[in-house]
Amino acid sequence: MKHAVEMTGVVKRYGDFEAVRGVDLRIPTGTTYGLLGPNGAGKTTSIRMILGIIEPSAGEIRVLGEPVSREVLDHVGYLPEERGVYKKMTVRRLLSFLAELKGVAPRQSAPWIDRWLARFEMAEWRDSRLEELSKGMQQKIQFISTVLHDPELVILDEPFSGLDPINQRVLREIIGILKKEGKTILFSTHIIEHAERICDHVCIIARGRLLVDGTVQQVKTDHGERFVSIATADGSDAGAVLRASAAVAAVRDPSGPGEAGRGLHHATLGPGADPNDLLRELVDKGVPLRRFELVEPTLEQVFIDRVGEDPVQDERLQEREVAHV
Amino acid sequence: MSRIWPVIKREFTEMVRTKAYIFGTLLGPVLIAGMIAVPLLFLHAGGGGERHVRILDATGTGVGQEIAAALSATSAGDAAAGDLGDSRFVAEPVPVTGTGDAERRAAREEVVRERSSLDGFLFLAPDFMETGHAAYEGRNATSMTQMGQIRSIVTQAVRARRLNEAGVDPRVLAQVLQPIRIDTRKPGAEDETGAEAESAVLIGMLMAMAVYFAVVLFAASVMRGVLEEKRDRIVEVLLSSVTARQFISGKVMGIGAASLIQMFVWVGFAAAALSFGPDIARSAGLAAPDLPRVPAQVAVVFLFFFATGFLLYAAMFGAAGAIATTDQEANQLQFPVTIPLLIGFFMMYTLIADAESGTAVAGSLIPFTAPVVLPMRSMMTDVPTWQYIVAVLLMLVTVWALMIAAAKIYRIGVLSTGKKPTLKELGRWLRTA
Repeated sequence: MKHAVEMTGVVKRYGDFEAVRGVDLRIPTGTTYGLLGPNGAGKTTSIRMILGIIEPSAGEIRVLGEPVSREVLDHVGYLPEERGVYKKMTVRRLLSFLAELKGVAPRQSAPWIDRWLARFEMAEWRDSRLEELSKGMQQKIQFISTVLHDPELVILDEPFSGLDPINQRVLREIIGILKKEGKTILFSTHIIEHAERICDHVCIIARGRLLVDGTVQQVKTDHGERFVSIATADGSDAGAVLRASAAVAAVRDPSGPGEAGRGLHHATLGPGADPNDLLRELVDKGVPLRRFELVEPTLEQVFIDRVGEDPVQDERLQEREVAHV
Repeated sequence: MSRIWPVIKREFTEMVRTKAYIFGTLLGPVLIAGMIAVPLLFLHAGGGGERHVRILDATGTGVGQEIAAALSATSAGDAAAGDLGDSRFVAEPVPVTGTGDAERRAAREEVVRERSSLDGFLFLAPDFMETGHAAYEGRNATSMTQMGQIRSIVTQAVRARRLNEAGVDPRVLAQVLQPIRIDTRKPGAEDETGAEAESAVLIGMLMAMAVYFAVVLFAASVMRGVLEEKRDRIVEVLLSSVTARQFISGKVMGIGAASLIQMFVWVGFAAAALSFGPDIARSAGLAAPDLPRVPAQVAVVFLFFFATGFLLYAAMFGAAGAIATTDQEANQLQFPVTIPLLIGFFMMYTLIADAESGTAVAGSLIPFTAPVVLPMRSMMTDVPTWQYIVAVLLMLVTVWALMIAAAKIYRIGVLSTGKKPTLKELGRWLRTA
C-alpha cells in the first residue's frame, strides 16, 4: 500500500457553502504528514471525513488502501483538537473501553495499558478516576488512548494546542516512537514551526482548497521565493546588473540599518532560474563579490505567501463551518 | 453489534455503579415492604385496635345501652361497619342522672390522662331523644371512619326507638333497619370484598408513579450523558470508532438495561410480598394484611410499557442533550420533554373518577401518556383487547420514528458547538442528516 490516505476530488458542502472544495491528497505510507492551513481552512472537516465522522458530499476517500469503514478505522488512532475524557471513569476502565471500541478485547489491552502507563510514570494512577488527575495527566491519558490499539495511521488534530511544555515534549517523544515504528502520522496545525520541525511531508490548504503539497524540501523549492543575498566587496551598487539579469525576477533595495550604501542586495530568483547562472553572469560582468548566498525560504514564508492574510474571510469561514458541522 | 457492545457495557456498568442507582434499586423493596408492614405495626402498637368508648346516658330511656351494644357488635370484616381496618369498638354504657356535668368532666380527664384505656365518650343529654343532639369527645374524634360509624349507629338506635314509639310493628322495623351493603369489585376479580377494588387503585397508582419517576430519571440520564460527551468533547473520539446511531443506540440500551433490571427487582419483590406477605405476617402472629391479586398480564403490560416508554423518552432526551450546549439549556429542555408524561401522571385522577372515560381511553392509547396510564388502567378495569393492540402498535411505531429522528438530530447536534440551533435549523438537520 503506497498511500495511507487518498482523497480524490473530495467536496464537503453545507447547503450552498463549500467547506472543502475538491481536495486531492495523497499521504504516503510511513510519512509524517503535516496538514497546514489557517483556522477555518477545512482541516478539521477533512480529518472528520477521513475518519468517517462526516460524509463527503462528493469525491472518494480511501484509508489504508480501502474505502472508509469501521473495520479500517480500527487501525486508525485519532486525537481531536477538542478532546476530553469521561471524568467519572477510572484510567484503566476508560482506556480499556476506548481500546474495545477499536476492536481490542479488554484482556488483550490490559498489559498494553500497563506498559503505556509505566512509560509515562503513571502506573499508580491506574485505578484513579480521571477527575482526580491534573489536566496534564489527563492529556497523557488521551495520548495513550490514541495509540493504545497499535494503529497504522495516527491522526493528530492541532495536537500541541493547550499542552504545557512538558507534555509538548511527551507528545514529540510519542511521535518519535511512532515514526520509528514506521507508522503514518497525519498532523494538522496552524503553527508552521511545529510542522517544519516534525514533518517530512506537508500540504497547505486554505479556504477549502489544497494549495501546495510535497516533501518539505520540495514545497520550499517549488513554491517558495528563492532569494540571493549579495554583497559587493567595495560597496558599489550592483542593482543595475541584477535587474538586467534574466534569472532575476525582482530586486529588493537594501533595507535595514546599515545596509544602504554597503553594496547589499536581495534578488528574488525567477521561477526555475539557476542561481549558478546568475553567479556566472555577475562574475563575467566584473561585479566584485564579497558574498553570494542562496537563501532558502522558511515554510512559514511559503505559507504566508501562498495563503495570504485574510483574517476576516477566515473567521467567517470558521464560523460557518462550526455552525454547519 | 460488536461495536455497540462496548458502549452498552460501559453505560450499564457506569450506571449501576452510581449511588443513586444502588439506592433506588434498594429503596423500591423497602417502600413496598414498608407499605405492607407499617400499617400492621401501627395497628398492633395501638393496643390491638380496640377503641374504648363510654356512653354517658342522661336520657333515662336506656338508649345508651342499645347504642353500646350495637357499637360493640361492629368489628372488622363487618361490611356494614364500613372500613374500620382492624379496629373495633368496646363501648361501656353509664347511666347518668341530672345534667351529667360531673361525669363528663371525669370522663374528659380520664381520656386525656396518659396511658388511659379510654379513647372517648359519647354524651346523651336528657333531652337527647327530642333534639337528637349528642356530643362526642375523644382522641379519635378526627377519625372520619370511626365518627361515621358512631353517627350511623346512634342514628339507627334513635330511629328504631322513635318508630317503635310511633307503633310500628317490630318485625317491620327489623326489616326496615336491615343494613344495606354494597359490594364493590372490578370486573374479573374473584372475590367480592371492597378492599380489592380500593387496593387495585392503590397498586395502579404505585405503578404509574414507578413508571413516571423511573422514566424521568433514567431517560434524563441519557440526556445528561449525551451532554457530558458533547460538552467535555469526548464524543469526537467515540465517533471515530462507532457511528452516531450505533453509539446512541448503545447508550440507550445500556441505561435501559440498568433501568429494566431495577424495575424487575421492584416487580419481583412486589410479587413476592403480595404472594408471601400474608403468610409471613400470620406466622409472625400478626393479622394478615388484605392484599390484592395482581394478574400476570398486568405485570407484562407494566414491564412492556415501562421499557417502551423509556425508549420513547430516552430518544427525546438524547436529542435534547445533543441540542443543548450547557447544563442550563439542558435543564430548560428537560421540562418540556417531560410534560406529556406529567399529563399522563395527572390522568391518574381521571382514572380514579372513571377508568372507562374517553380521556382515560385516549390516555392509554397515546404513546406519550400510555406508559403511565395503561398499566394503572389495566389494574383498575378490564381493558378491551383491541385497546391493548392499538396501544402497543402505536407505541412501537412512535418509538421507531422518534429513534430515527433523534439519531439524526444527535448526529449533527453532538458535533456542533457554540449556540443552540433554531427550530428552522433543527428542521434542516432532520432533512439532511
